[in-house]
Amino acid sequence: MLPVDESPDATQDIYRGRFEGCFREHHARLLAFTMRRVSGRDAAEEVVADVFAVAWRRRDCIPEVPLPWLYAIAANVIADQYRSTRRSRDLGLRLAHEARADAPGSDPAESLALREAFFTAFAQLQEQEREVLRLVAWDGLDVREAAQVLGCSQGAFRVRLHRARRKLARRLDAAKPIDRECRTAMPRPAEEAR
Amino acid sequence: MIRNSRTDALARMRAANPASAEELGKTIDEADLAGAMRRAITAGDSPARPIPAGDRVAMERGAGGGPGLVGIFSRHRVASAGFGLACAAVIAVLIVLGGGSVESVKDGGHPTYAAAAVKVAEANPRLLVTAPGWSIVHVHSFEADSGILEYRYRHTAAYGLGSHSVHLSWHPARLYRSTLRELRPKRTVETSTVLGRRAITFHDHRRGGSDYFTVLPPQGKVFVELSASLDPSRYATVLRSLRAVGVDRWLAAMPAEVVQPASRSEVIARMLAGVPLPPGFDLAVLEKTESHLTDRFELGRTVADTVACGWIESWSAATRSGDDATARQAVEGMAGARRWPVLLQMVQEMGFEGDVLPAHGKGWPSNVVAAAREIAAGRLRRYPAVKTTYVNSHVFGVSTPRNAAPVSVLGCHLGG
Repeated sequence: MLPVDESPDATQDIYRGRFEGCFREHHARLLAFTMRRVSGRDAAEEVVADVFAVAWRRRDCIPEVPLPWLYAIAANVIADQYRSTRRSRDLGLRLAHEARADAPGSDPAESLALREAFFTAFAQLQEQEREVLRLVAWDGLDVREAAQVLGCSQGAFRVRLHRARRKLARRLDAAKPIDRECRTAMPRPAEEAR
Repeated sequence: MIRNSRTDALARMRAANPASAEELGKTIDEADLAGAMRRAITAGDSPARPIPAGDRVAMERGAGGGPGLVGIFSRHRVASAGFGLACAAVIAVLIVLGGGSVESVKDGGHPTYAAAAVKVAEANPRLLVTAPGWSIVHVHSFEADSGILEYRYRHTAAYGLGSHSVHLSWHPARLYRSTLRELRPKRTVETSTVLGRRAITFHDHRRGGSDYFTVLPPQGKVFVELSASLDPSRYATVLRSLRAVGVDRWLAAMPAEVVQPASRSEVIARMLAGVPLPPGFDLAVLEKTESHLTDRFELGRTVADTVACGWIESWSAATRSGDDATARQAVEGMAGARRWPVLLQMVQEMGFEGDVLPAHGKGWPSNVVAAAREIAAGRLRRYPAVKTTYVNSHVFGVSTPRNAAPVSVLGCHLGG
């Protein structure tokens, strides 16, 4: 376990060990989950901190497979933080630009074109559709876990996934790279928040 | 064509993943992680700091989906998943525990052991698992005609993947035939010779598991049973390693607290330190000694159950009668259950997974906290309830259904 000095109240708790194990095992995954949904690592780390603050408060409820539970908390934290602003709009496009610079091992020409085409198509989906696809393709959840995160039935999730995949495929067929002028004019979340 | 296109769409999406957990993990060192955890705990502990919405909704979405207790009518699973609950219900427990000075019983033969322990040993076939790496980690009950020893392999966890535990138990000889009848259905049966006697092994491979039960014929007033969820070769190794030993060697294999004399009331007093007691709580109920032995975990469990049920029963009665003040007092009394020293010590000593308590609903101590949460929310569940099984009018064991009501697991008696 991680050595953590805390007040007697915090250390003297039967769920302390369970929380620490959960934190250690899933922190990086949760950070990745969040970075796929908010722009900038600092903002993502803020969300992760809030998620684990909630998890600490609810440490007696940490399930045997905690990841979907943590993701559900994270989705709500993000929704709560971004609800009142326009910051979540076009997030897919902004992420695309950030990812473009960091794409590991990518062929600068071919890979970039494909990624831009993908994110152009992806940005044309509705947010609910993007989220369904993110959970499966990026977060690596199966249908049961993803349905748990969204709080819907597995059957309902399958239907949503089917529709979202079909729509993404159509958009990909028709997608064109993002207009550079549009891209540079797009505000960063931090700028929007000011 | 459309399907290929859709498959491609997901494949392309995976390739465009903007954040890799593996890569991110490499950028965070131990100190960063410890600092982040400390800040999260501080934020979580700060009532003044609002936490974004997710809290309540995430709980409802996530926490309810976790698996609960399993093991309907599986004796071994009852013993393992229920922390010896099966026989804790059958066998009232007793004495205990470490901490005190070791007194000689001066009975002429076994000077370092409690007299009651020696009596149990003398009436017992005194079998031990002698395979390398196995040792007794808990004695769930320890009486002349019944008891359960839990062996664990080296430092494996008590639960989950990689856990290796074996239960060696003894029961009244009169239950031998009914035990065979109870074990036979839906299991394969093999006979073998163990310690020169004809043993019957039942193998249950349902539910994807591999549960073994080997029953030896009665010897004196008891018969011995070995049970485990292990792969076949490991179980065969354990079974072949059974040896009958003398009184001293048998007692020497037990945890010290089982066999050393000590003051029960002194130990109970230590366990109750820092625990708020319900109105009308009678310490004498806990201190009443009969003729039993148990380890510290079992006594701790009895102590915590008794206190928790006292509060819960008080809350239940107050709620029925509309006595808000008493109900509130009960909620407050249980509010700090997660920090009761007796529970903390049990979590540490049980070594569930290191010192990690299993998921909600899977570890007995969590039921105390879950019950506290239920009364705080004003919704105390009574069902699904733990079921008691009987053989020949004797309590044979209990089974804990999935998502069992915490008060049922604790054994509280609620009126109304």
